[in-house]
Amino acid sequence: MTQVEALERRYRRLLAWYPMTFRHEYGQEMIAVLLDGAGQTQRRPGIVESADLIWGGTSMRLFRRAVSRPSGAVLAAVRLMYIGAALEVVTLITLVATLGSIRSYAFQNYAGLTDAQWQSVVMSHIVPVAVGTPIAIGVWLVLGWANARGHAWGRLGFAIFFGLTTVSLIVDIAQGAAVSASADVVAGGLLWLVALGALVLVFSKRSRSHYASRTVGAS
Amino acid sequence: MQEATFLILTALATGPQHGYGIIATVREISAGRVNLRAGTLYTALDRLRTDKLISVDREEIVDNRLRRYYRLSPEGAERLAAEASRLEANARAALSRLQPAEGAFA
Repeated sequence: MTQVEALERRYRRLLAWYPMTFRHEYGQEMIAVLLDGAGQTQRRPGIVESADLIWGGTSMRLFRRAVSRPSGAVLAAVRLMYIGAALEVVTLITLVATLGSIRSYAFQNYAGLTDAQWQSVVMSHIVPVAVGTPIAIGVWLVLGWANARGHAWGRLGFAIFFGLTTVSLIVDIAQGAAVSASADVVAGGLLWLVALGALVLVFSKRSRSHYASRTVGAS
Repeated sequence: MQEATFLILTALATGPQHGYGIIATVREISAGRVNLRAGTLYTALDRLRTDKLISVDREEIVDNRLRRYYRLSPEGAERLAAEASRLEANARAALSRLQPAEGAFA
Protein backbone atom coordinates (compact mmCIF):
# COMPACT_ATOMS: atom_id res chain seq x y z
CA MET A 1 0.00 0.00 0.00
CA THR A 2 1.43 3.39 -1.00
CA GLN A 3 1.67 6.33 1.37
CA VAL A 4 -1.21 8.13 -0.39
CA GLU A 5 -3.41 5.03 -0.23
CA ALA A 6 -2.70 4.66 3.49
CA LEU A 7 -3.57 8.32 4.08
CA GLU A 8 -6.74 7.99 2.00
CA ARG A 9 -7.81 4.94 4.01
CA ARG A 10 -7.37 6.92 7.24
CA TYR A 11 -9.39 9.81 5.86
CA ARG A 12 -12.14 7.37 4.84
CA ARG A 13 -12.25 6.04 8.39
CA LEU A 14 -12.75 9.59 9.65
CA LEU A 15 -15.51 10.19 7.11
CA ALA A 16 -17.42 7.31 8.72
CA TRP A 17 -18.43 9.90 11.35
CA TYR A 18 -20.71 11.46 8.72
CA PRO A 19 -24.17 10.08 7.90
CA MET A 20 -24.33 7.73 4.94
CA THR A 21 -26.36 10.13 2.79
CA PHE A 22 -23.78 12.88 3.38
CA ARG A 23 -20.89 10.54 2.51
CA HIS A 24 -22.71 9.44 -0.61
CA GLU A 25 -23.12 13.07 -1.67
CA TYR A 26 -19.72 14.51 -0.69
CA GLY A 27 -17.42 11.62 0.30
CA GLN A 28 -15.39 11.32 -2.95
CA GLU A 29 -15.07 15.06 -3.24
CA MET A 30 -13.96 15.47 0.37
CA ILE A 31 -11.29 12.80 -0.04
CA ALA A 32 -9.96 14.67 -3.08
CA VAL A 33 -9.87 17.97 -1.15
CA LEU A 34 -8.23 16.34 1.89
CA LEU A 35 -5.54 14.71 -0.27
CA ASP A 36 -4.97 17.96 -2.19
CA GLY A 37 -4.38 19.71 1.12
CA ALA A 38 -2.12 17.01 2.57
CA GLY A 39 1.65 17.51 2.72
CA GLN A 40 3.96 15.49 0.44
CA THR A 41 5.22 13.30 3.28
CA GLN A 42 2.03 13.24 5.33
CA ARG A 43 1.06 9.73 6.43
CA ARG A 44 -1.71 10.49 8.90
CA PRO A 45 -4.48 13.09 9.20
CA GLY A 46 -3.46 15.93 11.51
CA ILE A 47 -5.04 16.33 14.94
CA VAL A 48 -6.89 19.55 14.07
CA GLU A 49 -8.06 18.08 10.76
CA SER A 50 -9.27 14.89 12.48
CA ALA A 51 -11.11 16.89 15.15
CA ASP A 52 -12.72 19.02 12.42
CA LEU A 53 -13.96 15.92 10.58
CA ILE A 54 -15.20 14.23 13.77
CA TRP A 55 -17.03 17.39 14.82
CA GLY A 56 -18.40 17.95 11.31
CA GLY A 57 -19.63 14.36 11.08
CA THR A 58 -21.24 14.42 14.51
CA SER A 59 -22.99 17.73 13.88
CA MET A 60 -24.24 16.45 10.51
CA ARG A 61 -25.66 13.36 12.22
CA LEU A 62 -27.37 15.47 14.88
CA PHE A 63 -28.39 18.66 13.14
CA ARG A 64 -28.33 18.19 9.36
CA ARG A 65 -31.41 19.74 7.84
CA ALA A 66 -33.40 17.96 5.21
CA VAL A 67 -32.39 18.87 1.65
CA SER A 68 -35.99 19.76 1.02
CA ARG A 69 -38.26 20.77 3.85
CA PRO A 70 -41.61 19.02 3.94
CA SER A 71 -44.41 21.04 2.48
CA GLY A 72 -47.92 20.46 1.19
CA ALA A 73 -48.81 16.77 1.07
CA VAL A 74 -45.71 15.52 2.93
CA LEU A 75 -46.14 18.09 5.69
CA ALA A 76 -49.78 17.01 6.13
CA ALA A 77 -48.70 13.34 6.18
CA VAL A 78 -46.03 14.02 8.79
CA ARG A 79 -48.55 15.89 10.94
CA LEU A 80 -50.92 12.91 10.68
CA MET A 81 -48.09 10.62 11.81
CA TYR A 82 -47.50 12.78 14.88
CA ILE A 83 -51.26 12.80 15.51
CA GLY A 84 -51.12 8.98 15.29
CA ALA A 85 -48.40 8.96 17.97
CA ALA A 86 -50.51 11.29 20.16
CA LEU A 87 -53.56 9.01 19.78
CA GLU A 88 -51.45 6.03 20.82
CA VAL A 89 -50.36 7.97 23.93
CA VAL A 90 -54.02 8.69 24.74
CA THR A 91 -54.84 4.98 24.26
CA LEU A 92 -52.05 3.95 26.62
CA ILE A 93 -53.01 6.48 29.30
CA THR A 94 -56.67 5.42 29.03
CA LEU A 95 -55.75 1.76 29.38
CA VAL A 96 -53.60 2.34 32.46
CA ALA A 97 -56.12 4.72 34.06
CA THR A 98 -59.13 2.45 33.52
CA LEU A 99 -57.55 -0.93 34.26
CA GLY A 100 -59.17 -1.04 37.72
CA SER A 101 -62.59 -0.18 36.31
CA ILE A 102 -62.27 -2.83 33.59
CA ARG A 103 -61.49 -5.43 36.25
CA SER A 104 -64.48 -4.39 38.41
CA TYR A 105 -66.75 -4.38 35.35
CA ALA A 106 -65.58 -7.85 34.34
CA PHE A 107 -66.15 -9.34 37.79
CA GLN A 108 -69.58 -7.68 38.13
CA ASN A 109 -70.85 -8.83 34.74
CA TYR A 110 -69.30 -12.29 34.56
CA ALA A 111 -70.38 -13.99 37.76
CA GLY A 112 -68.26 -17.10 37.30
CA LEU A 113 -65.04 -15.23 36.47
CA THR A 114 -62.14 -16.47 38.56
CA ASP A 115 -58.86 -14.70 39.35
CA ALA A 116 -57.02 -17.20 37.14
CA GLN A 117 -59.32 -16.43 34.20
CA TRP A 118 -58.88 -12.68 34.75
CA GLN A 119 -55.10 -13.14 34.79
CA SER A 120 -55.38 -15.02 31.52
CA VAL A 121 -57.38 -12.16 29.96
CA VAL A 122 -54.79 -9.65 31.22
CA MET A 123 -51.92 -11.67 29.76
CA SER A 124 -53.59 -12.31 26.41
CA HIS A 125 -55.23 -8.92 25.77
CA ILE A 126 -54.02 -6.17 28.06
CA VAL A 127 -50.29 -6.90 28.32
CA PRO A 128 -49.81 -7.04 24.50
CA VAL A 129 -51.50 -3.62 24.20
CA ALA A 130 -49.44 -2.18 27.10
CA VAL A 131 -46.21 -3.42 25.51
CA GLY A 132 -47.17 -2.79 21.88
CA THR A 133 -48.45 0.77 22.29
CA PRO A 134 -45.13 2.35 23.40
CA ILE A 135 -43.46 0.55 20.48
CA ALA A 136 -46.14 1.89 18.12
CA ILE A 137 -45.60 5.42 19.51
CA GLY A 138 -41.88 5.10 18.71
CA VAL A 139 -42.63 3.80 15.20
CA TRP A 140 -45.06 6.66 14.42
CA LEU A 141 -42.46 9.22 15.60
CA VAL A 142 -39.49 7.66 13.77
CA LEU A 143 -41.48 7.35 10.54
CA GLY A 144 -42.72 10.94 10.90
CA TRP A 145 -39.12 12.12 11.30
CA ALA A 146 -37.86 9.99 8.39
CA ASN A 147 -40.61 11.15 6.03
CA ALA A 148 -40.10 14.78 7.00
CA ARG A 149 -36.45 14.40 6.00
CA GLY A 150 -37.35 12.72 2.72
CA HIS A 151 -35.88 9.27 3.48
CA ALA A 152 -37.30 6.75 0.98
CA TRP A 153 -37.13 4.04 3.65
CA GLY A 154 -39.51 6.14 5.76
CA ARG A 155 -42.14 5.91 3.07
CA LEU A 156 -41.63 2.17 2.59
CA GLY A 157 -41.58 1.65 6.36
CA PHE A 158 -44.86 3.49 6.68
CA ALA A 159 -46.46 1.27 4.01
CA ILE A 160 -45.39 -1.81 6.01
CA PHE A 161 -46.60 -0.22 9.25
CA PHE A 162 -49.95 0.54 7.63
CA GLY A 163 -50.21 -3.12 6.54
CA LEU A 164 -49.59 -4.28 10.11
CA THR A 165 -52.11 -1.75 11.48
CA THR A 166 -54.71 -3.08 9.01
CA VAL A 167 -54.10 -6.70 10.02
CA SER A 168 -54.30 -5.74 13.69
CA LEU A 169 -57.63 -3.93 13.13
CA ILE A 170 -59.10 -6.90 11.20
CA VAL A 171 -58.09 -9.27 14.03
CA ASP A 172 -59.63 -6.86 16.58
CA ILE A 173 -62.90 -6.69 14.65
CA ALA A 174 -62.98 -10.48 14.14
CA GLN A 175 -62.55 -11.01 17.87
CA GLY A 176 -64.67 -7.96 18.70
CA ALA A 177 -67.82 -9.69 19.88
CA ALA A 178 -65.95 -12.01 22.21
CA VAL A 179 -63.22 -10.06 23.94
CA SER A 180 -62.59 -6.55 22.64
CA ALA A 181 -64.44 -3.58 24.01
CA SER A 182 -66.11 -1.49 21.31
CA ALA A 183 -64.01 1.50 22.43
CA ASP A 184 -60.89 -0.50 21.57
CA VAL A 185 -62.16 -1.19 18.05
CA VAL A 186 -63.17 2.47 17.63
CA ALA A 187 -59.69 3.62 18.75
CA GLY A 188 -58.11 1.11 16.36
CA GLY A 189 -60.37 2.33 13.53
CA LEU A 190 -59.47 5.94 14.20
CA LEU A 191 -55.75 5.15 14.16
CA TRP A 192 -56.21 3.18 10.94
CA LEU A 193 -57.94 6.16 9.28
CA VAL A 194 -55.10 8.46 10.35
CA ALA A 195 -52.58 5.96 8.95
CA LEU A 196 -54.56 5.63 5.70
CA GLY A 197 -54.60 9.41 5.27
CA ALA A 198 -50.83 9.64 5.84
CA LEU A 199 -50.18 6.72 3.46
CA VAL A 200 -52.21 8.30 0.65
CA LEU A 201 -50.36 11.60 1.15
CA VAL A 202 -46.80 10.20 1.19
CA PHE A 203 -47.47 8.20 -1.97
CA SER A 204 -49.25 11.03 -3.78
CA LYS A 205 -47.74 12.59 -6.92
CA ARG A 206 -47.14 15.86 -5.08
CA SER A 207 -44.82 14.12 -2.58
CA ARG A 208 -42.51 12.59 -5.19
CA SER A 209 -40.14 15.54 -5.50
CA HIS A 210 -39.60 15.63 -1.72
CA TYR A 211 -38.20 12.07 -1.72
CA ALA A 212 -36.38 12.52 -5.02
CA SER A 213 -34.51 15.60 -3.75
CA ARG A 214 -33.07 13.54 -0.90
CA THR A 215 -31.68 10.98 -3.33
CA VAL A 216 -30.09 13.26 -5.90
CA GLY A 217 -29.35 16.29 -3.74
CA ALA A 218 -30.40 19.84 -4.46
CA SER A 219 -28.36 21.47 -7.14
CA MET B 1 -24.16 35.21 8.72
CA GLN B 2 -21.04 33.45 10.01
CA GLU B 3 -17.68 34.67 8.78
CA ALA B 4 -16.86 31.33 7.11
CA THR B 5 -20.17 31.42 5.22
CA PHE B 6 -19.58 35.03 4.18
CA LEU B 7 -16.09 34.21 2.91
CA ILE B 8 -17.26 31.10 1.02
CA LEU B 9 -19.96 33.13 -0.75
CA THR B 10 -17.37 35.85 -1.45
CA ALA B 11 -15.00 33.27 -2.93
CA LEU B 12 -17.75 32.14 -5.31
CA ALA B 13 -18.75 35.70 -6.28
CA THR B 14 -16.23 35.83 -9.14
CA GLY B 15 -17.17 32.45 -10.64
CA PRO B 16 -17.54 28.72 -9.96
CA GLN B 17 -14.89 27.02 -7.85
CA HIS B 18 -14.21 23.51 -6.55
CA GLY B 19 -13.71 22.63 -2.87
CA TYR B 20 -9.96 23.06 -2.68
CA GLY B 21 -10.18 26.24 -4.76
CA ILE B 22 -12.65 27.70 -2.25
CA ILE B 23 -10.27 26.88 0.64
CA ALA B 24 -7.38 28.60 -1.19
CA THR B 25 -9.45 31.68 -2.14
CA VAL B 26 -10.85 32.08 1.38
CA ARG B 27 -7.29 31.95 2.74
CA GLU B 28 -6.25 34.58 0.19
CA ILE B 29 -9.13 37.03 0.74
CA SER B 30 -8.80 36.76 4.52
CA ALA B 31 -5.06 37.39 4.22
CA GLY B 32 -4.26 33.98 5.70
CA ARG B 33 -6.41 34.52 8.79
CA VAL B 34 -9.12 31.96 7.91
CA ASN B 35 -7.92 28.49 7.02
CA LEU B 36 -11.01 26.41 6.26
CA ARG B 37 -10.81 22.67 6.98
CA ALA B 38 -12.59 20.16 4.77
CA GLY B 39 -15.11 19.25 7.49
CA THR B 40 -16.07 22.87 8.08
CA LEU B 41 -16.19 23.62 4.35
CA TYR B 42 -18.51 20.75 3.43
CA THR B 43 -20.80 21.33 6.39
CA ALA B 44 -21.18 24.92 5.15
CA LEU B 45 -21.56 23.90 1.48
CA ASP B 46 -24.29 21.40 2.39
CA ARG B 47 -26.18 24.08 4.33
CA LEU B 48 -25.76 26.65 1.58
CA ARG B 49 -27.09 24.18 -1.00
CA THR B 50 -30.07 23.41 1.22
CA ASP B 51 -30.75 27.14 1.51
CA LYS B 52 -30.33 27.42 -2.28
CA LEU B 53 -27.64 30.09 -1.92
CA ILE B 54 -25.24 28.02 -4.03
CA SER B 55 -25.64 25.20 -6.52
CA VAL B 56 -23.50 22.68 -8.38
CA ASP B 57 -22.07 24.14 -11.58
CA ARG B 58 -20.36 21.04 -13.00
CA GLU B 59 -18.38 17.95 -12.11
CA GLU B 60 -15.01 16.84 -13.44
CA ILE B 61 -12.80 13.82 -12.87
CA VAL B 62 -9.19 14.85 -12.29
CA ASP B 63 -6.61 12.12 -11.54
CA ASN B 64 -9.47 9.67 -10.98
CA ARG B 65 -10.95 11.92 -8.32
CA LEU B 66 -14.22 13.80 -8.32
CA ARG B 67 -13.96 17.57 -8.54
CA ARG B 68 -17.27 19.38 -8.17
CA TYR B 69 -17.60 23.07 -8.92
CA TYR B 70 -20.05 25.26 -7.03
CA ARG B 71 -21.51 28.56 -8.14
CA LEU B 72 -23.32 31.37 -6.40
CA SER B 73 -27.07 31.42 -7.06
CA PRO B 74 -28.97 34.70 -7.64
CA GLU B 75 -30.38 34.34 -4.09
CA GLY B 76 -26.84 33.79 -2.80
CA ALA B 77 -25.56 36.90 -4.58
CA GLU B 78 -28.44 38.88 -3.11
CA ARG B 79 -27.74 37.64 0.43
CA LEU B 80 -24.02 38.30 0.05
CA ALA B 81 -24.66 41.85 -1.18
CA ALA B 82 -27.04 42.52 1.71
CA GLU B 83 -24.55 41.15 4.25
CA ALA B 84 -21.66 43.12 2.70
CA SER B 85 -23.75 46.34 2.90
CA ARG B 86 -24.61 45.62 6.53
CA LEU B 87 -20.95 45.03 7.42
CA GLU B 88 -19.91 48.12 5.48
CA ALA B 89 -22.46 50.26 7.31
CA ASN B 90 -21.28 48.87 10.66
CA ALA B 91 -17.63 49.48 9.76
CA ARG B 92 -18.40 53.06 8.64
CA ALA B 93 -20.28 53.73 11.84
CA ALA B 94 -17.41 52.38 13.94
CA LEU B 95 -14.78 54.40 12.02
CA SER B 96 -16.78 57.62 12.10
CA ARG B 97 -17.29 57.29 15.84
CA LEU B 98 -13.60 56.54 16.37
CA GLN B 99 -12.31 59.54 14.35
CA PRO B 100 -13.30 62.39 16.70
CA ALA B 101 -12.00 60.38 19.62
CA GLU B 102 -8.66 59.51 18.00
CA GLY B 103 -6.98 62.24 19.99
CA ALA B 104 -8.31 60.71 23.16
CA PHE B 105 -6.41 57.44 22.46
CA ALA B 106 -3.19 59.20 21.50
